[in-house]
Amino acid sequence: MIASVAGYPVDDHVRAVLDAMPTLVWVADADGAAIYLSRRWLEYTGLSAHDASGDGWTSAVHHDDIDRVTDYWRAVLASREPGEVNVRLRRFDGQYRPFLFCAAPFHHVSSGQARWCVTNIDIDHLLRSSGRQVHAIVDNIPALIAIHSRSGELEYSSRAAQESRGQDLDEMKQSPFNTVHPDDLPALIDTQQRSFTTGEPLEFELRLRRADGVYRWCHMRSVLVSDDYDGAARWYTVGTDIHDRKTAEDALRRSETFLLEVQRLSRTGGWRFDPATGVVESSPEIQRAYAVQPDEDFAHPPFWFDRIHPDDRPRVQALFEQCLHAKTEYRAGYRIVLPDGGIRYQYATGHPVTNDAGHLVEFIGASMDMTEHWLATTERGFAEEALRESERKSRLVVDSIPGLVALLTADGKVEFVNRQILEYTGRTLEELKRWGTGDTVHAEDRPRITKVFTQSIASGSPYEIEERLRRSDGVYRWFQNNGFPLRDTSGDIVGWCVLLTDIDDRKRAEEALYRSEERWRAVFENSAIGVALTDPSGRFLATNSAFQKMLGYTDEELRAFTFLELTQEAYREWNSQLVTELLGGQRRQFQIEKQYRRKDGAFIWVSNNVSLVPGTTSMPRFLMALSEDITKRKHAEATLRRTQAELAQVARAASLGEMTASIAHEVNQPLAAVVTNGHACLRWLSASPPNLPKAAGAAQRIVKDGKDAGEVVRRVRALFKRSPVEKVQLDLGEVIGEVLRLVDSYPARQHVVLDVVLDPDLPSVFADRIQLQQLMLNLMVNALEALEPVTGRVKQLSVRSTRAELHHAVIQISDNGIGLDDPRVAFEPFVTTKPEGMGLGLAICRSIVAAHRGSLSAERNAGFGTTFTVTLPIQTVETA
Amino acid sequence: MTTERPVVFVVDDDARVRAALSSLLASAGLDVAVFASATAFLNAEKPDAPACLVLDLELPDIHGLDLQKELAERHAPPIVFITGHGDVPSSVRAMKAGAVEFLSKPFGDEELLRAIDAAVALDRAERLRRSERMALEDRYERLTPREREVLTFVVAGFANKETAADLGTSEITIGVHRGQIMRKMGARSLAELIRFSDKLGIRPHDRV
Repeated sequence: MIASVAGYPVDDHVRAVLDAMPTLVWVADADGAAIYLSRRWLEYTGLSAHDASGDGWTSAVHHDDIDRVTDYWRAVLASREPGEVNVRLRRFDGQYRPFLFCAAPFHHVSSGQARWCVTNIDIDHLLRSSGRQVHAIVDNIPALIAIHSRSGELEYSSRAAQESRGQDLDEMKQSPFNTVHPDDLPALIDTQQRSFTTGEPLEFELRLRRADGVYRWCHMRSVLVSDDYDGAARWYTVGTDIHDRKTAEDALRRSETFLLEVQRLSRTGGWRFDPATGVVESSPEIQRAYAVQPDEDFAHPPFWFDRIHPDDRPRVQALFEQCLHAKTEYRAGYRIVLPDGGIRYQYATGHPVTNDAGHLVEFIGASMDMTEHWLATTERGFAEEALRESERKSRLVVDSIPGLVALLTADGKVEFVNRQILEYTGRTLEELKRWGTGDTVHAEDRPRITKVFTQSIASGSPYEIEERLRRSDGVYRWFQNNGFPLRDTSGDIVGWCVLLTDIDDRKRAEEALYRSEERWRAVFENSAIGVALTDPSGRFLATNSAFQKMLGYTDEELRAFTFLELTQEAYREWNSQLVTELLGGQRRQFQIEKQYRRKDGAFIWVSNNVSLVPGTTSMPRFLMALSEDITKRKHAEATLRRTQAELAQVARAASLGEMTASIAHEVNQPLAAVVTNGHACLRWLSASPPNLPKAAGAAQRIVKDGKDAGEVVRRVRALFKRSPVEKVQLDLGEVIGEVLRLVDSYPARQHVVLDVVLDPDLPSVFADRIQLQQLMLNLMVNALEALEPVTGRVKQLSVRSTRAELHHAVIQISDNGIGLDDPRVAFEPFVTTKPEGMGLGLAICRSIVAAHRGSLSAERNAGFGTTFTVTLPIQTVETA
Repeated sequence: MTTERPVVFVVDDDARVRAALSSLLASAGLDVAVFASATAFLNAEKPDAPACLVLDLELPDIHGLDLQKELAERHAPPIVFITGHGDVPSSVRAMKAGAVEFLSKPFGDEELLRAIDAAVALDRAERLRRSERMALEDRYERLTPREREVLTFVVAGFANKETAADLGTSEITIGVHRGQIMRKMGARSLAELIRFSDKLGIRPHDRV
């Protein structure tokens, strides 16, 4: 029956077995070509062995299944493993029935080749029942299930589906699309058609009208499945109500869209970093912003950091690491460099998400494009940042410096005051902001300050002003207020800095100094006495108005002169010498009477007291002269001298009178004695008997006493030689000697110890001899008379002559007699201790001394008596 | 008494004058004591005899006139001033103050001696008066206070009756007192008593 096929021997018994089997069997070689087909097979299919061998058997396969089966068959062959597949075979009458195609390899012993035994098992009834089972199952599934034929005819729908639509199967078959939402229908039909045509699975979402009229979204999935029922493929469709999900999805999608839109508009993107995986998720916006290229790996951090500008990268990276490590909020602003070289500015934030255990689960954040803002404010932004940073630094500095510092805004409002201000004023910043109205600035200074300050703010130029500020204890102190503007790099004023320095002590010292200077200046200017200041060479530096008036020059005119130039010639040498000594330190000051020549040529007399004002570090030394106009005095003095000379004449006359009285007395005594002796002598002679010795004694006394009288007269005559005043150079020692001789025979001279010490080198004085003699005589006689009554001690009269300073001779006549009660009064004319005296003796002495420019004084001695001191100038020049 | 030898004190600072005066007064038979200064004179012990003081006006230690004033308070002899100056005012003052004489040097012997005599006589009288006075004072001492009281009435001329009435006692008592007074005072008559009482400087009782 079975012929060998194409050279392939088939065993007979095998053939016999195969033929006997009720199943459809055939044998294939290793390549899958049928080499033997069983009788049953051939009978069933109606094919001849010849037609069925090789690949011919495939002609019995349903057209729709061929590709599937042949593919499967090839795969099985290749695998050499058994396999089975559903296949619809055509019966001899053309009806297709489902079969199970089972293939199993075996080894053909005789040929040593691999062979296949393929069995086709009729499973129709299986499928049928399984089909019924399927229906049952399907009905129990609460899903919308429909089964369509291959071409799309509805065959079956689940109970749920029917219930949902409110239709039964027939109705559904009638109008399958009437529950479909009109908007979705076109697309559905389109897709279904395509699917039914291609056999591709169909997935579609559509709105279906429910029994209650509400459209609900439904997800349809149709799969073409080969149905073993009749070998036909059927479309199995499952519909799932996804309405809630859909609306939620829609909402989500909308919100996602919205979010994305927002992201886009705000140029903010979201990112997420998983530290465990090291993966970065980024939103489209971020990717767009960072210009992510398709070939770049943007799922990991390095990519993102690489985008950052190299100058900013280290900082940002470090910060990110730190935040990651510390699980803290992340915030960073930085530039990014895009592939095209463009620079954008991103501001990124990140929020750490931790789990219950505290471990970092993820970092989620956003990144915002701030480029425009950055560009717009870049310099200023940086500057501001820098300013703020420097402000922060400054504030630190400002609080540390030991001064009062305030920072103001550009329009002059107080923004910040340092600690020192707060401590000093004891006020708060708020209170200090209102400095224009409070009492922190002294009420008197406020208007001035406000004016200057306002001007400064308006003009932008710095100011400097002094003001009083109230201390916390209520005391006001002077401060120097310096305000200066702070400018940014473009030169605009961004604020003001006010620096306050305590100058109270200095101010008070200044004020005191100023007042004192004012006072001294007033003294200088208003002094009734002329004051002239000259440099060491004598040139006038400054003069007061009194001096100017004296000299008749203005201050300016005077400065062209030295004082010597204005001094009368006769005094210049002496004056110069005095100044030299002054400058040389030999004297501290000198006094000189001299003449100045006025501007109008007249001469005036002045008495100058000149002293040297020592220099200081800031002022060279200068001469100061207090100049008193003594012209009147000089004239008065001249008048006085004339008067005194006249008086001296009168006094001479008067003293003559006085002398007469004392002469009378001097002469009278011996005369009286003579007369009395005479009488005595006569009586002795006329006694009885005459007493001759007694008489002789008397006569002798007469002779002696008579001589005495004569002596007195002679002396007096010598004293009264009238001669005019004649000044010559006199040797004082000589004059004193003459007078001493005169005095020698004075009775009161007896018992007086004379002590004379004369300076042999005493220069001569220019004086009138007679007058000096008279002077000396008067003084000595006074001394002797003061000594006369003395008892109980040795009577002493001492006469001394010495030189005093450079230019004076001094004669001292001292006694230890009865003394004067008040030596000064003794000089007054008409004061006398002697009766009958006119009291002119000492007055005359004084006038003589004055006429010689000397001085005469008397002093009580410490012990007894009086010392008279005569000072006479040694001068070589006659002064008027 | 009247025959006591007088002594003349001479005070002058000029030795010559002292010598001359000594000689002159001696030649006139007078006892002389010379002094060079007022102090010397005051300190010296003076004999109890009528005296005269010849005083120089210009003394070294004290002016003559001042000395005169001082001496007036004591019992000093009358003064004869001598002076070498001789100005009128001084002389007037001296005389008014009780000087016996004021002589200017040089003076004659007669004037001086005459002045000295007068002075001595004055002094004698004064001495007598003084001794009398002393005697009276002694007597007065012996009077009792009551008697002294009565004395004032008696020398005023009051009758005993009046006196008794005034003093609140009896006439007889007054009479007794009167007798005692007369006896003690040594007055021989009322008139003498009155004289004595005057000399003593007792003031008579006032008449109402």
